[in-house]
Amino acid sequence: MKTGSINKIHDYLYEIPVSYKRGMRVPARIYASWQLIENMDDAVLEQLTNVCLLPGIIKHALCMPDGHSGYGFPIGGVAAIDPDIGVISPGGIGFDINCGVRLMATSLSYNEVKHRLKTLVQALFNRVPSGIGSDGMIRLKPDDFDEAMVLGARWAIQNGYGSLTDLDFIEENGCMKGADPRAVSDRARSRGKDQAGSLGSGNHYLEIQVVEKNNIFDKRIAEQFGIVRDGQIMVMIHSGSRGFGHQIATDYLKRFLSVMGQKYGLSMPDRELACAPFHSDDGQNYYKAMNCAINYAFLNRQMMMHSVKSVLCDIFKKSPEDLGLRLVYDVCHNTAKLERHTIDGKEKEILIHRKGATRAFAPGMEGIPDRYRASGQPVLIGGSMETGSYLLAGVSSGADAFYSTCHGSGRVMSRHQAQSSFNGRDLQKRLEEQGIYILTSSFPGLAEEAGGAYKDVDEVIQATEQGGLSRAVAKLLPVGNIKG
Amino acid sequence: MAFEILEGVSRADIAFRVRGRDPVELFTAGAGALLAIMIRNPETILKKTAVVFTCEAADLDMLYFDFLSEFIFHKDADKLLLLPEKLEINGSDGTYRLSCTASGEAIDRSRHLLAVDIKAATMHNLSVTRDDSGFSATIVVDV
Repeated sequence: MKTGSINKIHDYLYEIPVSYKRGMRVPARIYASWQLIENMDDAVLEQLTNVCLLPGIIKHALCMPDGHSGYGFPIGGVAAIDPDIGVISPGGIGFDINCGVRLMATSLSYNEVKHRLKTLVQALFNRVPSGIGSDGMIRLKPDDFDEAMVLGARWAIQNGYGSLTDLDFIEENGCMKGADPRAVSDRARSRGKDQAGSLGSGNHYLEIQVVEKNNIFDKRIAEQFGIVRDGQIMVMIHSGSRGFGHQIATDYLKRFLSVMGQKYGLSMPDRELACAPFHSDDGQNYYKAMNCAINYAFLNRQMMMHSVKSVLCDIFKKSPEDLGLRLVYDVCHNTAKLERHTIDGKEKEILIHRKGATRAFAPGMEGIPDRYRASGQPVLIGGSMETGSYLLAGVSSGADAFYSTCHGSGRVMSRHQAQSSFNGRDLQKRLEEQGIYILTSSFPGLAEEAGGAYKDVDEVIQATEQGGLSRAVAKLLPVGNIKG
Repeated sequence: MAFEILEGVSRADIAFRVRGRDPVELFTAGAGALLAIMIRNPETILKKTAVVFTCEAADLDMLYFDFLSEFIFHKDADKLLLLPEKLEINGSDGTYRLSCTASGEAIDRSRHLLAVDIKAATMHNLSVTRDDSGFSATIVVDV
């Protein structure tokens, strides 16, 4: 990234002043080490400062340590908007609405699993639909679909996929209020009707992970989150709202572009930053439809976790209780949500856009499950399939970032570069030699997700901690993975 | 189908450019590129079924965006892999119209070598331009 206009606040926080670009309403801030910033692509700077042009933006536009270029907003972009005078922008949420991660704990140890790892990964690959053109676990009939959009994970549970206690451990309890199926197009319904309970492709995955004793950084919080022994097996699911969310994003991006100038007198330098006043009919319709997609993603991950539980029970011939299967938490990455924050000493409801960023509420805040109230919200950082993922916790210093943190390790190589640099079959073989067994629907897709295509996740987490965004609790190392 | 992957435009997704002597050739090349990115052996797709659709937009950029979005829609909604069979594009500045008959078949995992799922066309760096040698279109697709 061109760094000439960036001012240092401290070693892990940098600012771009409003003088950088005409029309910036607030400065932009990047939480990262100088090295991470230097390795970000130039478009991050332009996209982040474009976010500063959004009407109603408060304090700063933010970029998280894993930031890289996206559309409209950079990936890792966060913007707090005053909903009374400001806008909502689909470009601040992303196409895969509520792409997110959930983590399930087990009482299994790696020693119990390693001899059956291939059988386990093969069974998961067979049971959890993945890849292009795969059917989901069910076909949603129109009335069921409407109900599912409103109820989210609760709908999945009511239909046999999990237990009600799971809801306590999902962001927003797995159900965004304000979802209204009337705001969802027939095209979005057509794309979503067959995909509920499917992983998708790209960077989405289902991973068997192990927590080693030396990778537990905060034993007290780790125990509160359910990590209680060396070599404990965890399961991580990374997926989103599938074609349903993408269609809603496309529908409203087009709608906003057609009305933002003529109807609302708004103009942005990038079509992917199309926006509408939050309280306008258009803004509210998008918000209602987006909440439907958030709920779809919640039920999607809920259904897949249920299948994972079934597979584990089948293979180990034990009940879910005997296997200690418990949802640790489920977080969203791509959302716009109304949250109460203290701004300049006054509590106010603001609309937080997080695109490739995670909510990270601090200890004691409302919205965290009682079990985690003292530890802070669990934050799940999906790394690459080679290098591992992280479990973090929210901290009080996150207030400066509207309690937001990173979401992954962030790409350092384009997909095309990765395909040129890695061979999917060779990668699968090499990782198996390292003890990571992977099955995929697409070897070219696997090559694109090689560890070398991503930033050093350890460096990202260090910047996240040093920037005061969240605290590292444990690192989770991959031992088995299915990719779409 | 000839297309060029563009580096330096998107790290997380895929940018590509196609060229054509006229808008019909250009758009046809765009649909071919879309399919070739998703499936390693697009030549194996059989013409078993046809879909007819129309699009209307104020400029060729948005017409191209809408056109490619139709193929993505049918890939998810009907699991169809399609290519344009018959394509007509009319209009000038202000209103462009397109009528397309696309043919293809349902995704068959036993025959089609799946590569990368394209989930959306984006407007990031979207452009359709004309020069001395014809037309050129650039788009980033979300994968």
